[in-house]
Amino acid sequence: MLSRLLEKLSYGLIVVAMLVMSGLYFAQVIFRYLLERPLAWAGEVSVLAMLWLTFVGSAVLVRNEGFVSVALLRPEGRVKTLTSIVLDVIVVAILAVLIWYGAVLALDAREEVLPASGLSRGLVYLAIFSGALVMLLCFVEKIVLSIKKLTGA
Amino acid sequence: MTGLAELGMLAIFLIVTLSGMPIAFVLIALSLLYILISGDIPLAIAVQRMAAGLNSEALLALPFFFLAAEVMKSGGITRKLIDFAGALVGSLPGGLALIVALSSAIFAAMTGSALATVAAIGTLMFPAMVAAGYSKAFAAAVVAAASIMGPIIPPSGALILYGITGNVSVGKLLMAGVLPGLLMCIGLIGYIVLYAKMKGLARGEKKTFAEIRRSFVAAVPSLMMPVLVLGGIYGGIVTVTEAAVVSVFYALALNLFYREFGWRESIDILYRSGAASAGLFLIIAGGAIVSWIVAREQLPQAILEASLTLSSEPMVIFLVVFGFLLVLGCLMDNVPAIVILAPILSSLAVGLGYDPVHFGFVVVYTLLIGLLTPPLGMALFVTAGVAKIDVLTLSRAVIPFLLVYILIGVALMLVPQITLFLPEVMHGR
Repeated sequence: MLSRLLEKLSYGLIVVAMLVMSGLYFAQVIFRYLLERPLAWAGEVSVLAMLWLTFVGSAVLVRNEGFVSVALLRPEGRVKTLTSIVLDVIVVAILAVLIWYGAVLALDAREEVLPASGLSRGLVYLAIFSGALVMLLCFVEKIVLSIKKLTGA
Repeated sequence: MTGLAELGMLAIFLIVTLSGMPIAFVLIALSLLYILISGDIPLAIAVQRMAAGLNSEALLALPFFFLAAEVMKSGGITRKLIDFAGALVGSLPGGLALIVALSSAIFAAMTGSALATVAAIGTLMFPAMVAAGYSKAFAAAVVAAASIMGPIIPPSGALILYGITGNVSVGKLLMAGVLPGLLMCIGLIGYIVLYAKMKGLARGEKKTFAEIRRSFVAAVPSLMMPVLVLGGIYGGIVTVTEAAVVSVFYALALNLFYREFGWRESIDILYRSGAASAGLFLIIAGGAIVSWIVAREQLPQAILEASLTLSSEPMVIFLVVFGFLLVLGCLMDNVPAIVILAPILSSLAVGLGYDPVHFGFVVVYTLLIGLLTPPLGMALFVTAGVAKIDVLTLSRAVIPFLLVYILIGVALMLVPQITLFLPEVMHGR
């Protein structure tokens, strides 16, 4: 199962990103106030980790339905499955747009560098590209499962 | 575009949204459609705005405060707070409910989330209240109502979010929450005492001064947390994000000291707070495109002009906004509501001549009341889950508390000094 693997990947990424963010930012506080030698790049790298956390990490929300929504209409049975297929297809289309433009921008910006850390600015858009790709795969699997449920296979 | 086409589009979006499409994707879809229809904007702008919307060190404060809340709600720290609150108010009528109110307020000063407050205080105190003969509905209502102080007394995820998306000083907004939070705590205590006297609820035994002192000393390491966080922000020594990350490591140090959890659980905590942040940030990213469009279309000015035709009296408009947000808070989670509305409302505030900190705080306060109302009040759902009672029963029991909060909301609106006193003193330094 591809999506199980992707989910493990995003699980790992979430944990690592949280560690990097809090560890680096705490180090920055220590360096600024106790050692009086600010680590300017630490804030920048923390924000970058936050971007990766957002886009790739959101993939885990697909299967456990962790996204915030305003579901006031609550259809039952087959209508519910049908509705969720329609909504998921719309989301897949949106994600395809993000993948395409994420890739375009990542390629455009790959030579630019972030001011404090010297990392490539392409990494910013690469996060959107990769995250949208992982989410798209998870949504496609969800759609396939819903169709199977609908046809009773 | 004709008016009819716009209405049709709006109807489709409404149906899609109400059928349960994740809000983050609704926002992105709406923006992509706008860009496609406008014809002269490249689609890449959408992706650029998403990245730009998240490019902020201030936002890091949110996952840090989530993480700190996850660390703190597991055991030791919370139990010592409850013991201390018990020594202070346990012997009054309705003592156990008063403990919930007081310890939730203190916990609220350490974390910024209502749900963490329910999880920490509610899971420990609800069984105790039921065992002492409280009705399940009342006990659960107290837990749910008290949890709303979580995101009002600083630190507060909702206020940080409003400050960043509405471009209002986060530090001042947080300080604005202190006195209203105290007012809520006093309101809760007042109502509980009244109710307890009417129903003849049990009191706990009176504690001696030595016992109070002992419980205070045991709680001091936990009580230092709000002192550290609020003191740091108030004194302008650290940024909100720095205070947040320090609170994570302080909570970790305390838990190490109390020997609360091991590796396995630490990873779980990192994951839970990270996944919650990811969902939140995706909404912020989507909201960033929408707010770019809102600014491009000069929507705030249009809304300001339209509202001035309604009445030339700013207070009337403020009241209309208050009523609108009360209803919206029932129908919508506060995060997307804040992300979408903060940019519009904070410029409306300035246009009407209100202080953006005062106006912004009242906006967030009003939306947070929605956590206590059906059909989508998260505090109700989580508390009903903890208490294993029906959401409808709980929402009926919560009504008196809601009335207290709405009254306080009106007071906050009419008397700006309640919110502005501390931020102004802080600013004067």
